[in-house]
Amino acid sequence: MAAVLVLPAWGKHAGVSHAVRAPTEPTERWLRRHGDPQLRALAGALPSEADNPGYRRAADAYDAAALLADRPQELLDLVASIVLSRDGLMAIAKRTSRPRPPCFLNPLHGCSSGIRRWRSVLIHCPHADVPACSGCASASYESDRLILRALDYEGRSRPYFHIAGYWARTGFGAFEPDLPQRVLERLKVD
Amino acid sequence: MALGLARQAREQTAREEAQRQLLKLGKLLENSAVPLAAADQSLLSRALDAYEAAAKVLDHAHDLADIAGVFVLIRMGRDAAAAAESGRAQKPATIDLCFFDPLHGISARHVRWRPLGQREALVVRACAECADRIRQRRQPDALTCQIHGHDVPYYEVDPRHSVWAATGYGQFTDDLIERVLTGFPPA
Repeated sequence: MAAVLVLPAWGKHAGVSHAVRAPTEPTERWLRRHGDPQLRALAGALPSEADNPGYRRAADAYDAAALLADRPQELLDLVASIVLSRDGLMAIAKRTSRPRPPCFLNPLHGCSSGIRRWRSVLIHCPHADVPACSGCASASYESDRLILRALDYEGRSRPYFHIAGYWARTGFGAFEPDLPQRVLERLKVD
Repeated sequence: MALGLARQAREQTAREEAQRQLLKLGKLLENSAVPLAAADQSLLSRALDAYEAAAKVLDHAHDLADIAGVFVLIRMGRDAAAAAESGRAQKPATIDLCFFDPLHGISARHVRWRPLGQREALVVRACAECADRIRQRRQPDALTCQIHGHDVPYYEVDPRHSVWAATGYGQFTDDLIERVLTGFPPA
């Protein structure tokens, strides 16, 4: 059985303090239904956290998450919006400007708990070691049931990191420690 | 309860100070000689309009946002009167009060402000503290209005219902005086 199936369901702190279940091919409706409450939670937390060492990171994360949710160019932008909201919530909760990166296999699982050596020969990964959530870290191999997928330019479903683009390059922050700031630069708002 | 009382006390103090400054402007205008040059007469007329607008707002003021508007209008009146008096028909100085709360006072500098999560940015004048907060990505210390029991920054109020939100207390448009004279309080 794939380890992801034993992860808890979504709650208020889904993916922030613990990893959660998530679909491998989420719809826009699913992403909005699960993303909006976390974005609102971060917006509500910011005003009283100005003295928190993680404030600046959280403010940037909220800024980037809200901008992506407001005008997504692709479905993966909505995934990124959720990842960024959690990044901000984690920065506040852990009082840090460097929260843990998300699970590389499926960033919707939430925060990583360690590094996993990539084993699968069937699914090529551009990285030898990847951050993984508790469920994915303990899985015996990287199966299709764990990995976030998206449609490529020809409409074929593929692991997201096989589709050339910004999210494949950064692993939604798994390989970009300052994701909020980099996303803001990419959006050219400042 | 305590916050509400503190707010009322602050409002009362501001109202009394606005009354005092308005009276002072009235006396200044009473004693102003009518200038000879048409351009200076126009400035004096602007000062009188600003005085009238400030008095109108003070009469109908129902919160601190309105009282802040009185201070802005008094300042416009004083600047126009001083320009008329100088006889150089210079353009009155632009509003140099903090956009986020004119009660923060003068010494405002230009800042580029983009609220978190929004694409559009504004260039406004802000006091040193608000400018620092913006630089640190914190919320500026904004003057708020009570909307349905919630404190909302005045600039987020529907501009159809607030001349202050519509004009940024005169930072976005130069017709604040006319808008107040013709459309305050809003219907």
